[in-house]
Parts: sequence; C-alpha cells; structure tokens
Amino acid sequence: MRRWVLWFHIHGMLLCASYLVIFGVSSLLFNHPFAWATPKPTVVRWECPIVLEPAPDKMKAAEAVARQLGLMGWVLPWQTKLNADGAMRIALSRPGKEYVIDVPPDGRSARVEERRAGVWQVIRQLHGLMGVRNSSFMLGWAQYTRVCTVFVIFAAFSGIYLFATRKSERVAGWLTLGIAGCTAAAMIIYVTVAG
Amino acid sequence: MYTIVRKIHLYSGLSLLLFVLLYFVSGLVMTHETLFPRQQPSSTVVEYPLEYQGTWTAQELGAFLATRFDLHGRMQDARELKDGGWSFVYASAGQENKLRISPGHDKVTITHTPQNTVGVLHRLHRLHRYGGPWFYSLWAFVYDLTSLSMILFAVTGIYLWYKLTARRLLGWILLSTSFGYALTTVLYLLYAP
Repeated sequence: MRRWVLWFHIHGMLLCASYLVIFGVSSLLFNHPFAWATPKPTVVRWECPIVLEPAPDKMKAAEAVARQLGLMGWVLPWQTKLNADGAMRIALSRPGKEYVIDVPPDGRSARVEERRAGVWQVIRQLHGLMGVRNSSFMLGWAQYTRVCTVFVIFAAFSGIYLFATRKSERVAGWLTLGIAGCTAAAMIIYVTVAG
Repeated sequence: MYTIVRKIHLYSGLSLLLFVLLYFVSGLVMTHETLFPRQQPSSTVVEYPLEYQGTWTAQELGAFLATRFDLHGRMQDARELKDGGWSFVYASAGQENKLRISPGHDKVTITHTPQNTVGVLHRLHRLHRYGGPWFYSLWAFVYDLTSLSMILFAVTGIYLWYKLTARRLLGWILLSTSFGYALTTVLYLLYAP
C-alpha cells in the first residue's frame, strides 16, 4: 500500500510540477504587485474587413464581431457600446491581451487596438484559469487546473500517510502537524469571526 | 543532501498543510460555481445619527467609523461622493459592512452582510496584501510562505524523485509534459490572436 501511495504522490506531482510553480509565482504577484511585473502594455493597431450581421442585442453583435475577427476572450458589457447609428465599440478581454474594437456604422470593417500584456501578467492570469471563451486550446488548461487542484489535495493527505508510516519521523512529524495545524486553524477562525 | 532536502520537503509541508488545503479546497469551490453556487446572503440595514468633529478625510473618518460602530475587517473603497456624502466598505472574510454617510453628514446607513460558507471560502482565498490591522499583515506573511512553499515542493520533489527512483523514464515524460504544456500555454496566450 505504502509503495503505491508513494508512487502516485511522486508521479502525480511530477505531472503537476509546472502548475505548482505557476501557483506559487502568481500568488506572490497577487500579494506583491511589483511594477516590473505589470509593465505598460504594448499597443498594436490593425484593421480588418467584416460583415456585421443583425443581432438581437449589443452583446450578441459584439460576440459575432469577435468571432469573425478570430479573437478569443470575453466581451466586457460595461465597456461595450452600440450607438443608434449602428456604430459599435467593443471591449474584449482575455489573459495576455485586451482589445478595443471600433466598428463604423456601415459595419464593413473593424479597427482593432490590441494591448499586449507581458509574461508575468500571463502567469498571474493562468492562476486557476478554467478556459478562455472561444478557445478550444484553452479547454485543456481548464482540465489541467482541475487535475492539479485535486492532486495537490491528494498529495497533502498522502504526504501525511507517508510520514506517519515511518517510525523514525512519527513523533516529530505529528508534533509539527499538531502545533502548526492548531495555529493555522486559530488564524482562520479569527480572521473569519473577529478579523 | 538527500536527507536535508527530504526534511525540508516534509516539514515545510506539515507546517503549512492546513493553509495549502484551505487554498486548494477554496480554489476548487471557486472554480466550480455550478456545484457550489454563491447565494446572495441577506443583509440588514440600520440608520444611525452621526456626530463627528474630526477632519473629513478618508483615513480619519474611516478610523472613527470603525471604532464607533465596532467594524470588523479592513477598510476598502473609501470615497467622497458627488452629492457630498461618503461611502466606505469594511470587509473581512466573514462579513461586509457598507457605510453611506448622508450629504448633510448627520446620518450614516450601515448595510451589514454576513457571509455564508461559500462566501467565506471565496474571501479567505482572495485575502492578500499587507496593510490594515496587524492581523492582516500576519495573514499576508503566511500567504507568502504558502506561495513560496508551492515552488519549494516542486523543486524539492523533483530532486527527491531523481534520487529515489532508479527507473526515471516515466518521470521524465511526466515532467517534460508538465513544463512543456505550461510553456506552450504561456506562449499561446502571448502570441495567439
């Protein structure tokens, strides 16, 4: 039994090793928003012909434009406007890039302002990411997030089992777990109830 | 060297186990909202008379309100409104208090919203940054340790696997897949249209 638990503990975590590093780095960046990790985005502008199809509301129209342009991401409703003359301004966001898309009233072209984020922002945005709208490739990352989250929980309990089944470390291990666990529980209760 | 690395892996894991479980269980709850829906908790709204003689700055007024009404948590989003009133939010993991001072500065309306279990887990997961009451800086420090431990577990774990295992082919395949996939995803998000 111990042999198999150790085997899964090791090999499961080898599969999740990169996500552990991403979790660690991204969490540090949440706690410390360093200026070097959030540089100004690089702005690129381009234009593309489109065919604006009739749509029941601004969100459906915006999503249709994004699909025609081959862009993935979420339309931001509070920054997306549809004017009475048919002109549109669409804000689209996804990890790594943000877009502002202007469609003139004739609906035949789209002017796109693309803001490209840096690598640290992408790493931060990968934290717990469960896919990106209109991207089949990112469905894989959603599953990887799920697998790694579940596996870390397994690794925590299997780690306890692995040390507890070794006589040499039992006392020191349980003492560490007991003291640290009680301290952590007290902190969690305090911040929830009285913090 | 192996023994030292193993002890680091073991004791850092045991020391931070509960926090690691907190973040990963709450993370699971946050990424599966269909299984763990966030129901809007019920709020109570109470109006109080306000007598304040101090300086009308966010910092001083906020500190007065926290003491006067025994508000828990950290002050967030303090601002003067266009109509001359003020708005404050005091939030902790277990509750949120929104304060609205009237334009005449003579009344304050407090909307108190206690969080349910799912709400508490969301807030505990997102609780970061130093500052505010001392306990929040302590929490942020432990948050930093937990974040660093993720990297430590990966690095020490890879070392231990390499030293412990004679047949490493499967391990190399899994490790290459993990880092290769993560790198591909980062590059995809940076350069894909």
